[in-house]
Amino acid sequence: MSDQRPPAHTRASREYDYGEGRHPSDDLLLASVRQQHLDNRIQIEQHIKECPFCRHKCHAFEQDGRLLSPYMQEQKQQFYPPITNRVMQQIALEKSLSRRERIVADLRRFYKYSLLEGIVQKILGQEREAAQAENGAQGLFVSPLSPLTDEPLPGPFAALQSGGALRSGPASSRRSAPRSFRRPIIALVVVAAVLTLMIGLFASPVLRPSTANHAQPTPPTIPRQHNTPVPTKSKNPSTQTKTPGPANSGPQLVLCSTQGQIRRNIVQICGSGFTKYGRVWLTVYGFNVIFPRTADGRGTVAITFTVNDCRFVPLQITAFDASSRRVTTLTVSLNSCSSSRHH
Amino acid sequence: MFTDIQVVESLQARDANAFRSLVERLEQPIIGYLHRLVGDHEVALDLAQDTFLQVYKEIGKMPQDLSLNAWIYRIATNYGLRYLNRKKLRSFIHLDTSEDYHPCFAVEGPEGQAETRILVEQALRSLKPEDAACLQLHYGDGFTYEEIGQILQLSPEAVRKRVSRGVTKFRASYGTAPKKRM
Repeated sequence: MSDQRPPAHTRASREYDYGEGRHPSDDLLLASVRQQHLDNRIQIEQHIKECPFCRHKCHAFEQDGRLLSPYMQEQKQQFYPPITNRVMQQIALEKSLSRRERIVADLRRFYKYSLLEGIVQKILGQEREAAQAENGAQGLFVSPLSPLTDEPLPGPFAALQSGGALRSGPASSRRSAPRSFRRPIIALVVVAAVLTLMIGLFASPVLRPSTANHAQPTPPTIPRQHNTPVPTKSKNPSTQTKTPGPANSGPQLVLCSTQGQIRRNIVQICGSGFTKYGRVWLTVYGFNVIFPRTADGRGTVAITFTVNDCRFVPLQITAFDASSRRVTTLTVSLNSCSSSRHH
Repeated sequence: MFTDIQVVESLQARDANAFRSLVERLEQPIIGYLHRLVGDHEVALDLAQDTFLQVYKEIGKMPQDLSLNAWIYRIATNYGLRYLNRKKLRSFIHLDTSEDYHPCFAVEGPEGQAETRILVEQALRSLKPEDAACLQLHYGDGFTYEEIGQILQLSPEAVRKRVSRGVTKFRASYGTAPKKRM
């Protein structure tokens, strides 16, 4: 059958001369299969009749259609809760707003799901998690990034939240935060300050481990633990690790890279003993990379990153459990780095 | 039965009943389309609400050469694609919780026994959002290439290419690609 395959240079040809060795392009074949309007439909259909290769392709396209269409039709038949009342309420509400409030509402809608909102939601999520931990609440985990939360939020962030509450229905719920709603400018200023801070953080190589070669090491201000370190040897012979703090009494970090990963300078750090569903900040000093993570139901977290620059090895990795305010540190040395230094 | 022109005229006159009936008529297809595009039910509801609000506000600026449905789908598509781009940016700087647990902590998920539906969904997720939008509109909502071109402000040829590219990538992701060497 290999003689049916056209030469590579004619495979994607869009020439309309479908003589021997010339084939219509895939999009034309698909359009023909899907019965879409084509200027040269007769020519193409004639070619498909005569060419086994194109027939085969058309058959494949039909198979794809048979796979895609039922799936999408099935989804199409799904019933969604009607939003008509919500939309009408929102329109009525916006009519009652002053010009300034309407501008703020438009701004909120514009920034919805943006980086700006994400940052604010992130901060709020951490605050909420901390409050949950303080109250000993171990219930259902609520994603800190959900933009659709209806819970009232403290401070000026409530103004931004009411942007998310566009779809939350009754206007009365939105009026539950009148103070912050009356002060959208303050909210915007706070949000802008947070954004500026985050942009500064992002512009520095803090969040870009692969380009950390030019990073100036400025360790973040995460509190260090003052316990006496108790060094423990890693299972992996190519690394030396030590975990401070009493054994099994708090969060712990271990290196769980495989030998193959170590050879490729890929570092995997596994942590355990953290607050369940609590926020954990893992900081790699030297590279100045911060990995925000949420512990799972067993209180474990994991991070993976590649060490591109041996200047900062041995690496010091610190995990800060935001809920219990406890810190643990792990030092990782890579043999490959020490050997490359000797060379 | 009202024609598009009558509906648009009513909407431009800020007729609340006309707008309500328009939302009632289109809310299910628009939410469904956005759900398939963004893959999140709640977000789809939210974006659909924003879409209809935008329709209400901007009805006076509706292009004359476009049908009302196509215009509303265009707004919904813009909202959907903007959400996907922002989501990508947020996950890029670790603002979205896309956490990679070590295999030793991972629990075997349902992917192990994935059905066709899950595989199709995953394959669609791997497409570029613009290509996925074309596929959704064509296979899901039954729009022709010309109509999709109107919605996405593309030529029918460009749509044809996007659909073809989407199908090819879908086939590659799904694993049903025809053998290269026959």
